Order: sequence, then C-alpha cells, then structure tokens
Amino acid sequence: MYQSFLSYARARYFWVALFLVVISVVIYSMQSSVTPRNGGTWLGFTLGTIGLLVIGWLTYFGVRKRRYRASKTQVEGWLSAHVYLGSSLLILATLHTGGEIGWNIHTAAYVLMILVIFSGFYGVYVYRRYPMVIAQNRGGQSREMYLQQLAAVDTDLRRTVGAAGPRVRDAVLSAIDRTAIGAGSIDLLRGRDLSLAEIPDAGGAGPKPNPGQTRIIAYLSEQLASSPGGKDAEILQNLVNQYARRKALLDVIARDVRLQWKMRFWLFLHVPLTFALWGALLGHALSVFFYW
Amino acid sequence: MRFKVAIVGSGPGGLSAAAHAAELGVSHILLEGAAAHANTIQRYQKGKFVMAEPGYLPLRSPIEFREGKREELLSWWLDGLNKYKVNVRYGSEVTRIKGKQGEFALTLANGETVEAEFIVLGIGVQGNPRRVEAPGAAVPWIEYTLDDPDAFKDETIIVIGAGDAAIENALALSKQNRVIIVNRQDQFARAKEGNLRGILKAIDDGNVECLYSANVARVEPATVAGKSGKVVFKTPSGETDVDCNRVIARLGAVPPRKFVESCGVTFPSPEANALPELDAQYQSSVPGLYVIGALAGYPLIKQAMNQGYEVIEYMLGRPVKPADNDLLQERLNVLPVKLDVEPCLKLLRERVPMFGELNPLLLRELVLESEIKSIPAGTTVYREGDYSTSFFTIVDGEVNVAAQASGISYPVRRGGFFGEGSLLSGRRRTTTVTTTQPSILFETPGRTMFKLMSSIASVKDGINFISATRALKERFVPGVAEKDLRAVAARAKLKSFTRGATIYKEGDKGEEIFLIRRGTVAIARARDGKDSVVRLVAAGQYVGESALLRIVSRTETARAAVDVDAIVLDRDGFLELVRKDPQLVKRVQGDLQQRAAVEASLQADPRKAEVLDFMLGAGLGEATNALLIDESLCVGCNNCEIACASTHNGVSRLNRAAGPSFSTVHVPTVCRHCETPHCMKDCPANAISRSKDGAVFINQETCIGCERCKNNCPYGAIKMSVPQIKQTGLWSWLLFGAGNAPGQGGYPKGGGEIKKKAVKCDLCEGQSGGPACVRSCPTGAALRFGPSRFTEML
Ligand SMILES: Cc1cc2nc3c(=O)[nH]c(=O)nc-3n(C[C@H](O)[C@H](O)[C@H](O)COP(=O)(O)OP(=O)(O)OC[C@H]3O[C@@H](n4cnc5c(N)ncnc54)[C@H](O)[C@@H]3O)c2cc1C
Ligand code: HEM
Ligand code: SF4
Ligand code: SF4
Repeated sequence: MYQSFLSYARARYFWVALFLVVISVVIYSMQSSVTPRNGGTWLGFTLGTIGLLVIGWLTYFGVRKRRYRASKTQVEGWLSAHVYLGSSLLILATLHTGGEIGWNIHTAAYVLMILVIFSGFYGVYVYRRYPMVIAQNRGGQSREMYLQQLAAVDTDLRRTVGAAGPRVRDAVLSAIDRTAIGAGSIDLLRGRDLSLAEIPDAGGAGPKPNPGQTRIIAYLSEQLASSPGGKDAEILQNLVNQYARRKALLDVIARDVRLQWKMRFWLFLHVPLTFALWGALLGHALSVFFYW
Repeated sequence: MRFKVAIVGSGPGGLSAAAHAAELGVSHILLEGAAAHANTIQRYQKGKFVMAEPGYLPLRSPIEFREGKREELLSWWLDGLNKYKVNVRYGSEVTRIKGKQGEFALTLANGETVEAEFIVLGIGVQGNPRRVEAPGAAVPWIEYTLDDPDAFKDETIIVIGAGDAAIENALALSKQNRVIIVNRQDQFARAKEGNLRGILKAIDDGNVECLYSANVARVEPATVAGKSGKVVFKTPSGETDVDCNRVIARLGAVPPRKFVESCGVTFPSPEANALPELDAQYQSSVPGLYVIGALAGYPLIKQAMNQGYEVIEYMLGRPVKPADNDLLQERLNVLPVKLDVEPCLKLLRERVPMFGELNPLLLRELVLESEIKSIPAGTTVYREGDYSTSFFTIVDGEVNVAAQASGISYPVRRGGFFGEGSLLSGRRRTTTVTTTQPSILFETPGRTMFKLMSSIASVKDGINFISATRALKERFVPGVAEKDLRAVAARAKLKSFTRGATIYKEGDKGEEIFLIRRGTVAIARARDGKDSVVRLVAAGQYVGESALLRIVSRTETARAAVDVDAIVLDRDGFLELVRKDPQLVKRVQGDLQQRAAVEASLQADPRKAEVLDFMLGAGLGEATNALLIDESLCVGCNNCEIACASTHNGVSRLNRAAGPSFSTVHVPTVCRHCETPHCMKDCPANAISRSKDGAVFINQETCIGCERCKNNCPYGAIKMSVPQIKQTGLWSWLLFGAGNAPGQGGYPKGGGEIKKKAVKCDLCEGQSGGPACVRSCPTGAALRFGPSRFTEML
C-alpha cells in the first residue's frame, strides 16, 4: 500500500536520470578527437547548461515543497525526481569539467556541488532508516505522552524524597532540576548527556556529571546498601524504583530527541551549501563568459 | 384568579409568546423554573456569539432578536419583558398540569397552583438537572451548574457525577481547591477518552480524591468550622462523610418527556427523540395545550420566537399564516397544480401514503427541507457508486432502479420511494435510478428522514419493511419480484448491535443469517486461546450462512466492529428464498469459497490480524476516508499539517502527532468521514452534510457554533475556531518575509466577537488533486484509507 519516495511510480525518475546519464556519456565519448574535453567545447557547453538547469530545478524544490495549493503533482514525486536527477549531476558535472581540477572558482563550484549531493545522499539514508528506528524507540506512544509520564514520575519523586534525609533529598532534587534533554546540536550528534547532580561526599566542589542518570542511581543504591534498614530503607528502596522508572523514560525521550535531530540536521548543511553553490556557479559562469 | 394563558418556560419561544400576549392585553402569566429568563441561553459559554439562523426566515415577534453576543441577547430580551410589562414569575418550576381547556391547573414545585384557560409549553429539550435525592439535600450550597471554576479558591468541593461535565468541573476546580469526585459506579465508563485519562491521572497523582461506588445518604450540618455542611455517603465499606464548602452535582438532565406525557400529551413513538403529536397550530393531543420551540421539534431561536407569536394568535382563533408560509408556497410552485399551501399539502397526503402518516407540522417541515424536482423521462437521478444519503419520494411518474453488480432491475411507481439503502447504511449508492416517465420527485436530506423516522413509528416501520424486501432481493434473489418477497421480509427482524457487541459466538447454537444493513462486522476465530480477526464483512453482505449448510453450531465469532444494524432471517425464511430461486445455493457456495481464500491469507500472517484488530479498535471500521501514517516512512516534517493549515486559511484540521499507533501504523487525529457521522446527528442548524465525493463537511455560513458536533465526535476531529484571514503569497514571504509563513495562524486583527464556528477536515473539497496532506508528504508516509483499502490490506 505504502510506497517510499525511492520507489515512487516504480522508480520512474531513476530511469529518467539513468537515461540522462547514458546520453551524456555517449555524447562525451563521441567527441574523442577534441582536447581538452571540457566545458569549452559546444558539447561541454551543452552539458554545463543542462547541469545548470537541473541545479536550478533542484533548488526550486524548496519552493515547490511550500506551494501547498499546487495540486497537479505530489511532493513525493518531486522528491523522487530530486533525488535521482540530483544524483545524476555527479556524472553530468564531472563530464562537464573534463577532469580539470585546480584552485579556482570553477573547481570550487564543483566541490560545493559534490558536497550538496553527498549531504543529500546522507539525507536519503536517514530518511529511509530513521523513521523506523524512531517508531520502535517510542513503541506506539508520542513524545508528548512520554513527557507527561515523566512529569508525573517527577512529581512522585519529589513527594517521596520529601520524607528522606536532607542529603538524599538535595541530591535527588538537584538531579531532577539539572537533567538535560537535548543540549547543543553538536553534543546531540555525539550523543553527549550534560545532566548534572549534586552528589554528597563525592569530593571536589559543585555538581558532578550525571550522564544517563547513572551517577544519582548509583548514589541512591549505595545509600540503600549502607542503610540500617527500617523506614529509611523503605524510602530509599522506593526512590531507587522510581528513579529507575525515570531513567527508563528519559532514555527513550533523549534517544528520540537525538534521533530526530540526526534525521534533520543535514538539511542545515544541504540548504546553505546550496546557496553557496549558487554563489560559486554565478562566479563560474560569469568568468567563463568574460575570458572565453 | 384564572389567567387566559399560562406560558411555561421563558426561553425564546415562551418569552415571545408572553410578550405578544401582553402586547394584545391578554391576561397571562409566564412561569420560569430558573432564577432568570431564558435559562438555556444563560447557560451558553460567556461571550458566545449567537447566530440568527435560518437567514431566509423573517422574525415575527415583539421582542428583538438578531445575531449578537449572548449577553446582548439576554439584555434585549429583558428589556422586551419590561417594555411590555410581562407578568413573569421566576423560580417557579411547573411540576404538574391537570384539567382541561378553560380550567387548567398548574402545580409549582413549591406546592402553589396557578389556573389558566390555555397553556403554552415552551420548556425546550435541555431538561432540568437531575437533583441529589437525599434527606437534607435542598440546600443552596448544593449546586447544579458551574459557571466559573476560577471563582473558588482553597475550598473543599465535592463533585458528584461520572460524565464529562463532572470530570471537566472536577479537573478545573482542582487547580485551586481540594476536590472529591463521587462516582456511583466503580469506574468512569461514560467519559470521553481525554477526560478519562485526565481524571484517572489526577486521582493517581492525588490532585483529586475519588469515592467509587458511593451514593449520597444524607446531608447534615457542618461539624467543622468554616464549612457549609457535611455530606454522608453510603459506600460498599460502610458510611463515610465529608465536610465541605459546596457540592457541584453534575448528574445529567431529566429529559422533559415524562413531564410532558404526565400532562396528557401523547407521543407517536416510544423512541427517545420522538416529538409530541401536534396539529398545524401547535396544539397537542390535549385541547388548549400548545407546544412550541425546541420541544416541538424546532431547534433554533428564531423559529421558537416566531411560534411564540403565532401560538397566541391561534389561541385567540385568529388565522395567521405561519412565518414560513411564503417559503412553502415557493417550494410547492414547482408542482404542476397551482394551489395554496393547505390544499396542496392535502393533495400530497392523498397521493403519497407515507406523507399521509405525517402530522401537519412534520409534513410542512418535510416540504421545506426537501427539494422538489420535476424531471423528464430518461434522466438519471443517481448512479451506482455516488455518495449521497438523501431519500426520494415519487409524487408523480415512475423510475427504474437497477444495479450492475447484482443484476437487479425493477420499477418504482407514484406514491413509492427509493434511496432508502444509502440512507440507512451511509454507504455509496448500490443502484442506478433513471426516470422512465416525466416525474416529480421529493428529495429529502438524510437528517430530515431520520427525524421523521424516529418521530413516527409507522413511517419507520414502512421504510424498514421495504428496505428489508429490497435488500433481500438485491443480495439473494435478484430475479424474484418484490411483491413475492413480502412474506419472507415480514418474517425478517431488524436488530441493532452497538460497537463491540457479540452477534454470535463460536460454538453457539443458531441458524439465523444476518444481512448487514449498516456498519461492519468482524469475524474472529479462536487461536492460541484468544480471538483473532480473520475477516471483515461490510454492509450489504451477510454473515451466519451456516443456516444453509445445516451446521448447527457456529464455527466463528461475529462481533460488531462499529454500530451495526442487521436484517435477521431464520432458517425457514432462508429456505423460502431458496425455494423461490434454487440458484441461490450455488451463489452462497461461491461466496463461501471467496471468503475462505481471504481468511487463509490473514491466518497465514498473524501480524496482519493484529494490525487489523488495532485499526478496528481505533474505530476505523466506520471510516470512509481516514488518514493513516506509515511510521516507517514518516520523517516528522509536519508538512502534512502545514499543508492543511495553508489550504484552510491558517487553521490545520489535522493533528499528526496525536492519536494511537500500533506497529508502524499511526492514526492521527483528524476526521475520518464516518459512514454514519456522529457529528451530523443533532446539529440544530443542519450545517453538516456529505458531499457527492463522500466528504463530511460543515457549512461555515449556517454553523451556529453550538459545539454539539464537537462533543458528539468520538474521535476529537472537530475544533472551534474564529474565521481566519487569507494566507499571504508564498513568494512575498520567501523573499521579503512579508505576512505569515505558510500554514501559520492567520487570525483577523483586533479581536472582535468570539464568533467561533466548528471546523474540520473537508477532504480539500473544491481543490483538484485531492487532500493537501497526502499531496504534500515528501516521503509517501501519508495515505488516505477507505473501506476498499481495508480489503486490499487483507
Ligand atoms: C450551546 C448552544 C448553542 C446554541 N446556539 C444557538 C444559536 O447560535 N442560534 C440559534 O438560533 N440557536 C442556538 N441554539 C439552540 C437554541 O438554544 C434553542 O433552539 C432555543 O433555546 C429553544 O428555545 P425554547 O424556547 O424552545 O426552549 P429553551 O430555550 O430551552 O427554554 C426553556 C425554558 O423553560 C424553562 N423550563 C424548563 N422546564 C420548566 C418547567 N417545568 N417549569 C418552568 N420552566 C421550565 C427552562 O428553565 C428554560 O428557561 C443553541 C443551543 C445550545 C445548547
Ligand atoms: C546540486 C544538487 C542539489 C540541490 C541544489 C539541492 C537542493 C535542495 C533544496 C533547496 C532542498 C529544499 C530544502 C527545504 O526547503 O527544506 C532540498 C531538499 C532535499 N534534497 Fe536536495 N539538492 C540537491 C541534490 C540532492 C541529492 C543528490 C539528493 C539525494 C540523493 C538530495 C536529497 C534531498 C532531500 C532528501 C531533501 C529533503 C526533502 C524534504 O525534507 O522535504 N538532494 N534539496
Ligand atoms: S467529525 Fe468525527 S463523527 Fe464527524 S465524520 Fe468526522 S470523525 Fe466522524
Ligand atoms: S508530511 Fe509525511 S513525512 Fe511529513 S510529517 Fe506528515 S506524514 Fe510524516
């Protein structure tokens, strides 16, 4: 029933792109007598023009995506074509260069294009893989629901810890207050958890790192183990249980945030690089016309 | 002293009647149960904008009414009461009416009696709140409404009730008060999903205390300083008591029917929403006792006010034409005979047996609501596969009803009707109807027919009988004439099953065959100790065919996947059909083979069965067009939602992230265009209808914003919204950042009145290319799903 953008309309645009590539290769090999075989020849010029049009069209996708009233076509179809035609540029443009690489505006345009395309490849990879991983992580519940449960557990914890000794109480409260979900974009990609907690008797001043809430759980378990028993032990046992539940929820949420970000951050490369590419392309085209 | 007329209820109907009586100098008294006039309107949300629909109807009342804020309306009406010096008594609930025309005696709640020659009942349909019945409960701090929960702080408040109103009040009050909710049952069974979750969580978190299985035993003076009193509860574990500041009891309303019947007024049908029997002048079966307004079946303010005026005229024996007379005349002018309204209606009654069963008021309404069509021979009225649920009556001419699928073809003549199949099932037309002579047809919308059917038992029985005959013919014996099937159809019974109910169980003894008229049935077999769905059976199909195979105990379980109506035929009835057409046996065997193939594929893949179970649980069995998201493809870009907002003036009707998921199927919160839409059921303005393409949509012109549809939709698909401004152009936003980003809320500047109307998904009606959500999904994750896809999935 469902069909991903890669197989949209039986991968029609894959065949279109392949056709384009084959034609270009044929044209390219036809002009074997000419040297150098770059954009300077009429064939190279044709390839360059096609490439420029394709890049223009690929960029227009950003506009089409937001034209919600446009009804003749599906955005899914556009993306499918975007992906395959975009990939075909890899060959088209390489042929267009004729293998001439140097420290100049022409090569800069080429390299930027390669970067855009490869960020696109990465995008396709995450778009096909991450949704499933994210869905499995969440197990049928929305992030909103997890956050609600987390808030409920936090309320419970705060209530339970009220009956505990002041040192345990401060530790737990600080761990709750200084839980970090999200953090900065780089930390997210590296999977770093910046949560902190005030752990008594841990040596040194200030809060200690508490990644994955492991430090505070370890502290609570220690306290439980060394507790003389009775009412105190009961409270500590409760705290450990509730905190374990909190950790489980936090793990899902943190993982969700991280995965979502990984699925999306590449667009923040893909789009600015596209703009940079246009700058370079403009320079490339102008200089070509001037010095030709 | 005896008044000429006693008017009961000071809603728009009663007010208008009393003011007109006062204006004419007729001695009168207006009795109102509540402490102020127009209690129904007093109970609207603060600042609610009241609409003056229907626009085409002129207002006929000495009292002012046009669209405006609730507060304005109430003050106009109060001014009207003062201006005409209306003799009104508040706090005077009428509990009994005895006597006859000329000498009625009305008993009030406080025991007093009032005498009058005539009575006008305008008590509406809201009913009076069900009271706490316990010794000592008649104290002012036990209240039955809650206007502003934020008005109370640091109090102990008992909320009694387990419905949505009680839960919403309890949750709102718990922010600033100690709240104890008292539930007579041991669970909250009647509440909506969201409220249920909310209250259970609040109880869990200790924000609200809860007494289950508790009843008020008595009310006593307070034993703690600063409290109003003590309420003693009976619980399974003995008595318990609470000192509190106030009690908010939300026990629902007592429908007014019992009271009305006790006055001697008869109803033509036992059904809950039946209307009292009235003549064309609103007089009930008790001479001298008139019924107007919502109670008479007219659910809008303007209608009620007009009737208030007219009823006084009628009472005085003056022949005013009803306010809608001109409209009726205009409608009837389509007919070839040129007659005045009354003689014309008389003629219609004689011609069409079904019309003869209607009382004059209902017939007028039917004419007003129907479209009268005069069409030449050879015209197609509707086609197989069309979406429409209207009902056709043939006033003159003849049509032919035919279906390709079943090969049937039969004529329907003058006085007969057709189109009942889709009316009752909510599904697409299964036949094509063509006129064979120049014909005059009444096309009546589904909602009007439902109203008539629940009001007049004979109309309902008549339609049911013909529909059963035709359904049997269509499904089983297409070659047999309708009249030869009457005896079998008379044996058939109509049974209804609510969603989830068991129709029969594996192992049961039973030989009946169920022809499904409305809804979907899930067939399940036991596997590994639990039922697993193996097949879905849609309206127009049948289950329980074991009757034919002489298998006495059921080999499968049949459950109603959604609300189901079925025509039930016993074994003898079925054998009678076989006698009429021996080929039937072969056809049923053919069906059986096909079914076995479907089952085999489902049983081979248990995951499919689980997904199916989940989808039925999410109510998709009654969907005609639902949005489903494949979570293995969705990248959460929200493009679908933005597209929805962007094509609907900035307000998305879709909440992608909300809603249940299972495996990789996600059911977002958005309208699924139900087969028989719950939202449509009692819209007072008739603003919800279904388009030819199947979209259930709300007319933004006529919607009065009463929120009833929102409350009736079990899927949370309707929201209330102020009208939005147009979206800005994409290029000016992209290049210059002018206006709103696509899909960003565009509310009109400068507040204004809260003219909120109900909005929901309309399947992007009027835009080519289909729903924008699906068109805008870049990854192919969003899909629209209808009953045909269900089978595809299997
Ligand atoms: C939320 C909401 C919004 C609505 N919005 C609109 C709108 O915008 N426009 C519109 O045209 N319609 C609207 N309606 C419908 C409209 O309110 C009703 O059609 C109208 O109130 C019916 O008038 P009525 O006179 O028949 O009865 P009601 O208005 O119901 O009045 C009945 C009166 O009788 C009193 N009463 C009842 N029993 C007794 C008794 N035994 N003894 C003495 N008094 C008694 C009641 O206290 C009440 O004051 C809305 C309805 C609701 C619920
Ligand atoms: C020079 C080549 C390319 C250019 C100029 C280009 C440009 C763009 C632009 C402007 C967008 C719109 C982003 C937005 O508005 O959110 C986009 C989106 C995208 N591109 Fe490219 N692109 C190129 C090549 C590719 C290639 C080769 C691939 C993959 C193989 C690719 C995959 C994608 C994907 C997956 C999206 C996101 C779609 C979405 O989330 O809606 N792109 N690209
Ligand atoms: S609004 Fe609700 S009840 Fe009405 S058709 Fe849509 S889902 Fe069904
Ligand atoms: S548009 Fe498609 S991918 Fe984006 S959120 Fe909606 S369903 Fe998911």
